[in-house]
Amino acid sequence: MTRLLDWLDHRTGCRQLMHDALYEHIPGGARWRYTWGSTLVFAFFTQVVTGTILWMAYSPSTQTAWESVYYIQHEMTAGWLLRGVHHFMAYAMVVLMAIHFVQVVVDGAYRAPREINFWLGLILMQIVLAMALTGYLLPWDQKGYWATKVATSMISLVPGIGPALERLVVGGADYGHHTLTRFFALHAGVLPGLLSIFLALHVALFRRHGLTARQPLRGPDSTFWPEQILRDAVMCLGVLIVVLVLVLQNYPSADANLPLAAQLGAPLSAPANPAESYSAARPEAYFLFLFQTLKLLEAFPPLVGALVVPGIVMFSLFLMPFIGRWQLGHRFNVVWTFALLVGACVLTGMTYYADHNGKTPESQHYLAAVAEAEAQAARTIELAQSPAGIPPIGALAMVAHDAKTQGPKLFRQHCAACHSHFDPAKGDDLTQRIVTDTPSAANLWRFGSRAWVAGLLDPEAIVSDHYFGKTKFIDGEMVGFVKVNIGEEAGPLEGDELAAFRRKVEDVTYTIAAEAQLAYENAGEQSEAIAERVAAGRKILVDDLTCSSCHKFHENGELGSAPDLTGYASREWLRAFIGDPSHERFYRDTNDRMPAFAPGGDKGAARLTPEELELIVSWLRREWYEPASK
Amino acid sequence: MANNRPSQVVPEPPERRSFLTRFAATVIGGLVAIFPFAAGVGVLCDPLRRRSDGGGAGNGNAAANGVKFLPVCPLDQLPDDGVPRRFSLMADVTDAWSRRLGQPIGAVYLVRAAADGGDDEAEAKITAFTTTCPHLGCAVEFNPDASQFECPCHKSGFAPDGHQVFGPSRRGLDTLEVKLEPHAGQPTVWVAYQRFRTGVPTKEPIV
Repeated sequence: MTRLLDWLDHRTGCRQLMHDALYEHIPGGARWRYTWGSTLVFAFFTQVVTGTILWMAYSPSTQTAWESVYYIQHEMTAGWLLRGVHHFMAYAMVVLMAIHFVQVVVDGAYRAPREINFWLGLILMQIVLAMALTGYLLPWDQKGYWATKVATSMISLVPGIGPALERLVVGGADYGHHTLTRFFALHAGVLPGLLSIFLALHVALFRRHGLTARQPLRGPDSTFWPEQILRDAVMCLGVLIVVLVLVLQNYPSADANLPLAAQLGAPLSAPANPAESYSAARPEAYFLFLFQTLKLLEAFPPLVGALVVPGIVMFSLFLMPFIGRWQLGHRFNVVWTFALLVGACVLTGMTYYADHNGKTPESQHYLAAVAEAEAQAARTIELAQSPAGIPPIGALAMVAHDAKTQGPKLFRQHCAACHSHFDPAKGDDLTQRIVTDTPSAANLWRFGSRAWVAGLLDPEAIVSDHYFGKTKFIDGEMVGFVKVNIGEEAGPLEGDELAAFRRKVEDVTYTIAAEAQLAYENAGEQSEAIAERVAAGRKILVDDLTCSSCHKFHENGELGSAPDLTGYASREWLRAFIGDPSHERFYRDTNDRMPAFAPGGDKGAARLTPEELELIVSWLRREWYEPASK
Repeated sequence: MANNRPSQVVPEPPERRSFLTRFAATVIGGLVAIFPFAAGVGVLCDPLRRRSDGGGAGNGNAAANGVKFLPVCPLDQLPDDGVPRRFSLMADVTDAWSRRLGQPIGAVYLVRAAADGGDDEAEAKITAFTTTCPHLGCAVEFNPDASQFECPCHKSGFAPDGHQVFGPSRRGLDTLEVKLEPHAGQPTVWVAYQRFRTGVPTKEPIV
């Protein structure tokens, strides 16, 4: 061993190098306050290692970035840990940088001959912030996408060359593949390379000038190894523990249904969707003070808040070594540093409070947008884990074909001016709940199901706002029929007779609901008992209640006076009905106000594409993928 | 060191305390330095716990040793002249996060010898070879002039029955399991497509 070391030392001088590295002189002995620089080196080292491994699994393009990050987070072994450490160590790095900076200013470590090293430190600070900014976009999720858009828009504010500069950064006129490849090259190549170079210079100059010892000295001089290294290592361990606590902070989550990977590590919101603006777009927490500055200075041109003010502040930091030449100037620097720090904290707190207080309309809007994005992200991950998986064109296309998420959007856009869609009895899934302020048509919650048809045949329910209350059908024949033939018929009945009559009507609801063939209604029940009631109801419908004197029902009755009950609320029926409700098969000239939505169905242009029509039909029938565990 | 202050004499700390400090500094320092690697070892070694997709999305067919059969071509498109013919294999592929339907996943050579009897005998007379050279994984091609399979990379040659004729390969061409079963209404040749380790003398499937 010794001979091998001798051989190596003879050729490289490694012993002297090791000695110089380890036995650096520390005037006054090792102290905890000298550890901050080392923790920053440790943080950078962690980012390089974890980042390189992430790199091996990451794919920068608009159709694979979110997808590969999803795969790391949810499918790869302990991927959440790797991502979580990389994410929160970035936070730690920014905080440690602030502490390191404050200490340098307080100790006057920027004074001659250390001015250049101070400036190197400020350059390092810029590089670290640039890495944080570029890294935020890489998952290509809603959060990072919209927040980064703001940042790149600011670049365009630079006088003269702004628009060209923005184009160079974004890699084109719009966000796309080249935005990701460029940001990734910056984040994983250019910036870490620059950081390494400047860090080497920073440490070399630090070694040249020596440590700025805190006066008065506490004890005898010592060396870097082992006393100071022990303190450094313990401090790094502390940083590491804080990062791990942040990675595990949501465990165990209140929502036990969530998979482990959804609770731990860094958040991943829904895939970036340029068509769907995300009104809760915020930069990462350590940039929030810049966000707030921009908001406070909104009276001025955006250039002022985005570039001029931060630029002046940065310039003032560069001037510190000159100002600090006089004792008074040094005091000014210290006060100015704390003022900036407190200011940044206050601004961050202001943003946080404005967003999270839950009282102001802005805050409620923000919180709702966050909740919606989280629900969307959870749904996207559900779909990604379904047997169909993520198609080659990416997760966005997968979501675009999902009735559960697209249904509410299409319904809001095309139907919710008149129709509601919510469960009047109990609290339903909020993402599926659409309450119209002034409904003027039926509530389509579980349209065509037994419960829905039962309401239609109930003399009180049918005139309520959930059915025909606000339509012209309130004076129509159906309401009259239900009032007389069901309401008044049941009126004088009591006891067994009433129960028998009610059962008859219920049999009819079974018959009509069976036409819809709704998957959710036929699941897990005895099909024989249902079939019996459907058959019984069929007889009653035709012979007893004589529905078929107005409605066509299979071979009974004629089209022309009321909507066809054959296949009522089935896929085909809904598609045709929504396509053209004034068709002979449905309302003809008695149609109230519902427009035709299908291509060529109305006088005007198509309101829904065939795909949209299918999505709405699937959604009303609640036909969408649900994971088996739920 | 640009420190002008005369250096104080550093007194030797007590031997025991110095040892403890060195020990703690080494252990904690080592722990901290290993941590980023420990956080990434799962992702780094993730491929080790993944199994080969094996191709087919499952047409409900019997699996041989967990390998799915894939339809290759209708029986009547395969002349019974004993000449190898090349066919591409299509299957649904799960590649990390993405699921692609009907992708080319490889190719096979089918050789059909003349048979007098029905389909049972025809099945026995069909041989399927993977196009992967058992030497180091290049794609072999059938050279009709020399009537042999040839690997363009390292010049291994194989007879139409798969036996090695010359070259560095350590075994003959790998055969694949064949069956005859209707597909889209007509008798079809199916092949259990799988890959084998290259460079070894025996045929060992990759799972």
